[in-house]
Amino acid sequence: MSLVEVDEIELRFGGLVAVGDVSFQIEEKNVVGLIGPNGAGKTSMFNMITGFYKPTKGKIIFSGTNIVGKKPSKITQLGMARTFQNIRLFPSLTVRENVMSGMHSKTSQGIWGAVLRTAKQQKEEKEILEIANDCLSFVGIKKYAGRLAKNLPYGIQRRVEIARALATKPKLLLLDEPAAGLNLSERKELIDLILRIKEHFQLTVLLIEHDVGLVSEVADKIVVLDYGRKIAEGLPNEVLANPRVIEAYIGKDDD
Amino acid sequence: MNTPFLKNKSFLYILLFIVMIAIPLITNRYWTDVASTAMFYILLALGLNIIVGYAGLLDLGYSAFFAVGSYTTGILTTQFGVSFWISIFLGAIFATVLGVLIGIPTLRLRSDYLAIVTLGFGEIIRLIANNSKFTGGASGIYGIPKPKIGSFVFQSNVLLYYLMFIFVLLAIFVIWRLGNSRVGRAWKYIREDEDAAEAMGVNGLYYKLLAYGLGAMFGGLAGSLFAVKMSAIAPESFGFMQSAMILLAVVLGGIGRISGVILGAVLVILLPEAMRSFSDWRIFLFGVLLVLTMIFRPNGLWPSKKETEEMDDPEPLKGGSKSVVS
Repeated sequence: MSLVEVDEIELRFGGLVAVGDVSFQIEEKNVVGLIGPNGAGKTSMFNMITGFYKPTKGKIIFSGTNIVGKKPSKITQLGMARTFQNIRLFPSLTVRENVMSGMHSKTSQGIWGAVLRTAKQQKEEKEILEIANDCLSFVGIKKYAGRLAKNLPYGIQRRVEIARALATKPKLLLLDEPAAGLNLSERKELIDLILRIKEHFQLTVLLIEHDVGLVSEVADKIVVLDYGRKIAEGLPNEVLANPRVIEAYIGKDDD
Repeated sequence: MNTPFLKNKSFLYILLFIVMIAIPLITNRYWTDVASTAMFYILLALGLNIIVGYAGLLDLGYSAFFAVGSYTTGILTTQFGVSFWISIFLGAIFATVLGVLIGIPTLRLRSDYLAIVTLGFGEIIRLIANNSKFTGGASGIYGIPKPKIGSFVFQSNVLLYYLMFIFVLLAIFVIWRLGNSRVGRAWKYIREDEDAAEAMGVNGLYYKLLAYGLGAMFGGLAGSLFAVKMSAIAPESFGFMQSAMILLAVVLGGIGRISGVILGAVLVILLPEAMRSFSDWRIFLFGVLLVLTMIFRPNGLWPSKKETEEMDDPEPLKGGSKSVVS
């Protein structure tokens, strides 16, 4: 069964077609890789699924509801969580506070609960803290919990972002170039982490990546975009052998 | 979360509390007045801190809400014989409603545009007060009666000081608890990165409106108290300089932190008084002090907590708990 159905989606900025007529499906509990050269429309695609851009045409069905036109916060509440290509943490808050933000959409206390410290509010606060700590442990950064996000090295910040996304208890996790800027050993740890996340949380993952090698190691299916169009879709080894994909990545052989 | 407000430095806070209670008893009328003015500023700065410090929305017209509270109490008590207690309640409600109404269109803007719009809004309120009949025009409203409970009247400055002190304590309690809650965290997420907050499921517009409305409410409360303390109000008390001074109190002490904001409010009132012997030079010296503060302590005199290193969880890569599985 597919968790996400992207149906003939189009995104125009004035006359420029950033994404045109793309359809694909993300099956439940799969890792789907979305690849393509620079400017292929990967991040635009991503921003449409998460509600940051509104597509000019088409539908995006997420577990049965059309989410086109919904606010990002609303879509997160429906069970989607994302990371950003150029890490967007809450810089002057601690790592723990960062991760606690994930639980926002799963809790409900307002001003009365906060001021009166009702039993329900205290229970929620405890739960938020527990989940945040669990997620921190899971990605292996519990010892940084009290540090300010902005003072941490890049690789750790990436993990904070993933922990924060996991804390929303998503059905679908969207990772936007998680390997960007990581060194070899961090990259290996990331592959391991993505596989562990899929295994442990039974999650569906959509992964945008430049690093084709990384994608082929973790993805069950790959979708390739080029100039805003889908040019291939299928199993990793099939897709990477596809002449159109090779052409998009390294250019056409003129001989 | 642990509660550093109660555990750490509790001695310091108790000492401060005793000093605040003792001020009118051990000083003369002049210093009691200065302390009362400091109380308004604390209340105003705490309210503005919700907007600027917690939610990160730059508001340059905060004195508008102060004016709404003042005029509500002024008009209702002098012209309609309404009791002060009802008027302060209504003043707070009017200020909140106005805050929400002005917030709905403007809070969609990013911060620098918001600053300009609020600046204009503050001026509009002042000009309405200056040019309307029901606000008494440029001469304002006078003869505002002192609050009373039954036959007990808060006639003296000392009693009014204590009345304001109670309001300040209530405000500290409410705002501190709000700041350390799900709502307070949502504000901080928006302040830090609005897009990321939205991606985490925080409804940006809703929480910005909430911050704006609550901040306005405290501005309205302070305004009502100001009206009965002064017993006369006029539009010039609610101009841009007032907004700027309140903002200064928030930034000077340590933005986003209650103790810092209180310190800032006290300094904004106390420093010009303490430098009275320099006569015309005092505002200049005050300015120099501010510039030096911003150069050497850009996060304010009493900035937020430092980070901690936690080493309580040495097992990094295995683990996690089932509670997160959805």
